[in-house]
Amino acid sequence: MPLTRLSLARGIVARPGAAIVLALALLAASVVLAFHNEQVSRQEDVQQLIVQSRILGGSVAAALAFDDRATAQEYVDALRANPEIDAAGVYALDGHRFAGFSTADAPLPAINRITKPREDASEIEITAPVVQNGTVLGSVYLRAPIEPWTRRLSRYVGIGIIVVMAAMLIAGLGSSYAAASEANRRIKAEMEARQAAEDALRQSRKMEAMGQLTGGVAHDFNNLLMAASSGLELLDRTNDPKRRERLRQGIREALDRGAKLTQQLLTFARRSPVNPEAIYLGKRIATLRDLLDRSLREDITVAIDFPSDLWPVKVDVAQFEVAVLNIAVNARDAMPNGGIIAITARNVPASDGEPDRVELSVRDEGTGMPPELIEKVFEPFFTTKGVGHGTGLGLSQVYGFARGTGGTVRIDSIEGEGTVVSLLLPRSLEAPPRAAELSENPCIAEDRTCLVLLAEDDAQVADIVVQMLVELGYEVRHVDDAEAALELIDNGLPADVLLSDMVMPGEMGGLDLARAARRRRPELPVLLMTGYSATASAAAEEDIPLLTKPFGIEALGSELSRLIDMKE
Amino acid sequence: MSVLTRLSALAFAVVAVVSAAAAAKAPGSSLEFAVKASYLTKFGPFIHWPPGAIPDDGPARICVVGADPFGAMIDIAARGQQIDGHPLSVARMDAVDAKSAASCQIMFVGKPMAQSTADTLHAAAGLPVLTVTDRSRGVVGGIIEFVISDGRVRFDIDQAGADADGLQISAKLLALAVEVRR
Repeated sequence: MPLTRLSLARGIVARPGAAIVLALALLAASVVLAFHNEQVSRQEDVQQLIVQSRILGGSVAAALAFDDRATAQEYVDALRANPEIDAAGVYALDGHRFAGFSTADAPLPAINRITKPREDASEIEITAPVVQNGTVLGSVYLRAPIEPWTRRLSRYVGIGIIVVMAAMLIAGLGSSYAAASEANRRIKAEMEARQAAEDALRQSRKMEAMGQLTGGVAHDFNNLLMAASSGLELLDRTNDPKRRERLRQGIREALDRGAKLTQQLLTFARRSPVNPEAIYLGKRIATLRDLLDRSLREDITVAIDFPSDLWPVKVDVAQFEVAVLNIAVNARDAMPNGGIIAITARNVPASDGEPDRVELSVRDEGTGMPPELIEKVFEPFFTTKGVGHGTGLGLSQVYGFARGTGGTVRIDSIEGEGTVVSLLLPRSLEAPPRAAELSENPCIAEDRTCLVLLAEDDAQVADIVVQMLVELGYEVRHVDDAEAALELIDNGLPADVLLSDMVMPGEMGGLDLARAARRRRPELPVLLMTGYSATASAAAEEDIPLLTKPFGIEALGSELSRLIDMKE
Repeated sequence: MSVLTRLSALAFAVVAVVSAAAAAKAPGSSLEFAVKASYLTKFGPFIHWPPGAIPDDGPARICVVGADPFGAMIDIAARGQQIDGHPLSVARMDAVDAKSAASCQIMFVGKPMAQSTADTLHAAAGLPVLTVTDRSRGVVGGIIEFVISDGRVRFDIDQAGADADGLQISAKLLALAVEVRR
């Protein structure tokens, strides 16, 4: 509540008129107080005089009784020293003066009568009987001057000046406080307005970034759609096998780029199904080289040099490849006139609280960048390239990938000399599995035909997958949903593998189907496919193998043969 | 009110006598004894008697033993006076023994008549009786002795004697004494 009282007080002082009223009230209060003090002081004077009269009466009792004027006079004279008493007298029982003095012009009364204390403007008179042991022996008389009111007033002048000054101070402070609080209110309003403007600006920047992103993505997609559709058109018009092969290659590349683009977007959204596995980076050189040769220009030379004793790392291979590609694409763009991109790796032993790590560095001979830019390149949507030339997601994906694996990414750049981007990935304690023989259908070796039960609701995808399976030498039974697949299993379909999409219409998804199938036929291998699904991690948790769309025929073949081999 | 009026009337009478005595340079014998009679009646308020020394229901007594120099003056002076709320009465005796001495609170020992001064004082010795003698007239030995000093009636006080008799004398009275024997 003290806060309320305080703010109330502030509110009062904040109005200058109120401050003046307050000051006047202070003045009035001090006048009343002074008057009251004067009254009290007068009463005290009277009281003091009464006490003096009793003392005098007691002292002169014996002298009065035994007619000793000299002694009585001595006692009375003692009061001469008191400046507050200007006349004192001792009177016998008959009221006649016995002893006394008067320093003032007015003489002592010749006869004294016991009365109440008498006050007038200039003096106080006190009379008191002289009593010894109940016997009245006479009386005393005392007279004290009262200070003239001018003198008394002058005593208050000092305090009065202070009070007036205090009142003026209050009035002054009040008005200046009012001015200050008014200014404060204006500043507050201004700050709020500025805050609102900043919010609006931030919002518009966000919209601008969104526009840039969607513009970039749309442009990239348009390009690859253009390449794919026109490739298909041309494919229909030619019968030249060489030309057809080139066109097919072009279409494939366009589709790969589309797949990578969506992969990047998903990684940025942190929703990409992550499928980390322990690998030796050295084993990926060939794949990397292939990928980079396809993505970079002809005037760019890629030099890859990995030592043979590199530690294994646990990463999502697809993401790793995308990350390296993103770094390489940036390196390429930094070298408009061509040059060498050197990709090296080395073991970094544990130090300074960091664990054992493997460092992969991509060095270019490009333009480099100033330090202030380095701080920004990992921000999503940040790009130095023009609209349509970059999404600003590349290095953001690299950063997300590195953090996701428990590692980090570092950039060293010297303007005009080049840039080194280093991925530091923690060493994996898991040993990578030995590379399996690629995609031979194990059933063919056993001279029999294996049956794959495929559950896929998307007719186009199902068509492609069926063709892939047939190409791989499998027999296929395709159904549209989980319930139909389960029914076939219940009816004793002799399937060797269950291949299912994760998201399907109906009450059951792929994961539910996998669980149900495992309950019915625990030995039946299950392989799930997904493009984007929040349940992907759930599949990983239940140790159900997962293929990430889009996948190629090789990946499908090797995964199927691995599962069938494991079963036998 | 009536008591006060009477008191002040009486006081006026006494003080008139005292004033008359004071006015005279050499007090005549009647004035001198008027003053002494007045003093005798005024010692009371300055003396503290032990409890029980004054009978609860009776008056306080001033006894004049031996020759009485005061006559009616002491009766007039004692009228209306009191000690600790007891009215004063005056008794005259030729001689006292211990018993009759004990009935007095103040005992003026005048010139000896039926009993020697020493015997009178002896009878009162050890009792809470304020004995008064008149040294200026040749009678000595009381706790208070009248003397004439600078032509005025004053007194000496024997504080040791008062102590022996169990009487306490006010410092105010002691301050007025010409001489105090301790």
